[in-house]
Amino acid sequence: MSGKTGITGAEWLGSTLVLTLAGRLDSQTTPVCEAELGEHLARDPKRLVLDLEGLDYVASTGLRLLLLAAKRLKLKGGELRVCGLQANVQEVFEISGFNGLIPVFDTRPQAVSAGDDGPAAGSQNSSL
Amino acid sequence: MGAMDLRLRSRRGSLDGVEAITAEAEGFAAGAGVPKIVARRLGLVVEELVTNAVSYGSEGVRDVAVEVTLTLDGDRIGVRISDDAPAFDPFAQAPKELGRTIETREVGGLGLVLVQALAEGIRYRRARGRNVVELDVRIDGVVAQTEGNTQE
Repeated sequence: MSGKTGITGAEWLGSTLVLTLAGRLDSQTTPVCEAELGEHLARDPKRLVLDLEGLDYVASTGLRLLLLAAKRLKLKGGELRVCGLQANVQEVFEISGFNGLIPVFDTRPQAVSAGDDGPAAGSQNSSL
Repeated sequence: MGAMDLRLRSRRGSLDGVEAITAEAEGFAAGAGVPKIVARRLGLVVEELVTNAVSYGSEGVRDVAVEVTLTLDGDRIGVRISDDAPAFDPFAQAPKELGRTIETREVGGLGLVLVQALAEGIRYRRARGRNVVELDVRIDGVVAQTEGNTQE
């Protein structure tokens, strides 16, 4: 519960936006993160990469936020990708079936550059 | 020794204090020397069930008093969560089919899916005007069985 929580960094690489998330996505922090994420999505990135290496914890409310972001991007022909999942976050992704919905990568460079035609969701899953 | 009681009184569905209870639960697990992933699982189970009790029990208008008791018991942590909201068994409904694409996946409803995967021996009863949910979180590094497939 130490350090900043939420979006701690943003970087544009062409039409790809990379956001760094840290801390926790729980019932109290997610609403703040949702507002910040909404501002970033309003800039219409073609691809959004969420670097979750510093994210310690995701509850169902955080999963809801990620799914909403994925849906919003998909509607506009874009894609949400995630990378750097900690073991417990990976576990939550597995249980909820999110690893079959949202492409998961080990590292940020992989998430940014892999398959520019866009891989099928789940085809790039990392393993625990 | 080996036990912790936590209390929350939510005003009309407010989630203030849920984060603190989750942190206390994780602290209890960490104090017992369990692996970090087990502490996170315990925190997640407690957060989801307390949030559920407050959100659905209050219907946005009632105050809800929630009590959480954690007990270290050999290779597991016993969790007992009770509230004074109207009778409601969160596990009575059949699990819903999870959509397999971004377009078809419904938003929400994952809290109990997570609890059912991360905990064992889940039981509900109505006792003395309170909803009581009891379950166990195993203390080991085994990855939970996943939706649709299993992990090593």
